[in-house]
Amino acid sequence: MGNEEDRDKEKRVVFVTVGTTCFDALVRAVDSNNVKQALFAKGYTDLLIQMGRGSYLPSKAEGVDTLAVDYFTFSSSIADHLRSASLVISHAGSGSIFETLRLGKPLIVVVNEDLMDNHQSELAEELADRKHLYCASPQTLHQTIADMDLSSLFPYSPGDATPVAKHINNFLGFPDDY
Amino acid sequence: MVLLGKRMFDTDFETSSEPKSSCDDVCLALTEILKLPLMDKCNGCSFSNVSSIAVFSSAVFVVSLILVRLLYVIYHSRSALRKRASKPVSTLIILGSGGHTAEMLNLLAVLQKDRFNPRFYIAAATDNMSLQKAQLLEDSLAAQNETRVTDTAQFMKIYRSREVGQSYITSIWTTLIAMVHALWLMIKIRPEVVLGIRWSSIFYVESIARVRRLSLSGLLLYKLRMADQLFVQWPQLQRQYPRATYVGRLIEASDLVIKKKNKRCEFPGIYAYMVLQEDPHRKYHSYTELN
Repeated sequence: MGNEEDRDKEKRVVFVTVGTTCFDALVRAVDSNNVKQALFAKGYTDLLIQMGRGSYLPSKAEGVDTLAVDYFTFSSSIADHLRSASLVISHAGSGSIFETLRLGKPLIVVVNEDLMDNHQSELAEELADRKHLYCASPQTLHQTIADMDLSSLFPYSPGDATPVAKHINNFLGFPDDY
Repeated sequence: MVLLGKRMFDTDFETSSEPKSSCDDVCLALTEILKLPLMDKCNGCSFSNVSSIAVFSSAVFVVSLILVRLLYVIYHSRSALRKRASKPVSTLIILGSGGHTAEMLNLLAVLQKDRFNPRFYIAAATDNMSLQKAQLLEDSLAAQNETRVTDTAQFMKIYRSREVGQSYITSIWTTLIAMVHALWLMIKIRPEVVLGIRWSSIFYVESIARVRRLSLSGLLLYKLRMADQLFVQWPQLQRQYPRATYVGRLIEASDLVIKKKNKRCEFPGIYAYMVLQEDPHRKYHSYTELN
């Protein structure tokens, strides 16, 4: 995961995704100067924001000596954006999290603190404890970026559905042939 | 019949469109359930009267069914059903939305399709993605076995008990509608279940997103002992709910596609690309095979 740190003068895109939700606090946070500076200091060149149903519009920027900023609402090619990103900053939806982890991309999950009954933070915190990703809030994002050490992250090992299938088969009395 | 349930009744669905539930459809369903004698006998009485009687009687019906089911499961819980070993079981598969459908389809990919047959898929009426993904899976299976999808699978939509952001007070009413609709679908799919000729087994898989607490659906099924087997994907959750079974994580290396695990279940390249056009919000979902 860390080897992309070494490449110079290449485009190094930070892709921000809020999925199908509305998460203005995250868009506002990544558009803030301290987050942009933290990203630029880490060697990232581009900031691409998928802003979903939110209403806050980030300020576009060309980026010569700063971060280039661009945004869109929805796209049919989220997977392509994820694949070409050097760092992904995502909302805490399980779909976005696992899609990013599967691609082996460094990931910072930002938990939406405005949601009622916010069980989404459970997953993000558990995966952060297991060092598969970093977990932040909109307020602490710049600090997380400044402090992060991508080489300390462990790749996510895929799960396996066969134990469930086995249990169901056993329960129904089918012969066990896994 | 087997029910593979996943979170139809939760607080965080990601879809966004308007609920389509209309009272008319439900009333129609109810009068069909009651075989229309009520309508014929009282031509003069108002429709709302009929529907309130129907709602009441079906509520009583549902409650008594739940009670019988409860006693049955408490009595039989965790004991395997050795009698049914050889013939296929018709299977009702309940799809949540988004990531939850992916988990369920991962499970389906490793289940032996000849045993779990025919398969009935149910997803929320406002969730356009889930059934399309299930349809893709069934299409690929049918192509593989040179059969027709209609022989092995059916796809149905159900009213949602609560939308994301819907208030809890109005969700009481929508939950009732959803329950009646669910009952109607059960009658349509498999009369034996309701008539009590054969009982179903219920398997519930809690979402991977639930690490410390069960979801509302999971909690209800656990506390009321409604599920024959309740699977959780994190060990700390199992410690908190000892009657649950810990099975590890279901999320696969590549979305929807199971490789190597089971030779019967390979669908290479089928999910190459899928874009939905009708709703800009849903365009976000694209599923790309990660070979």
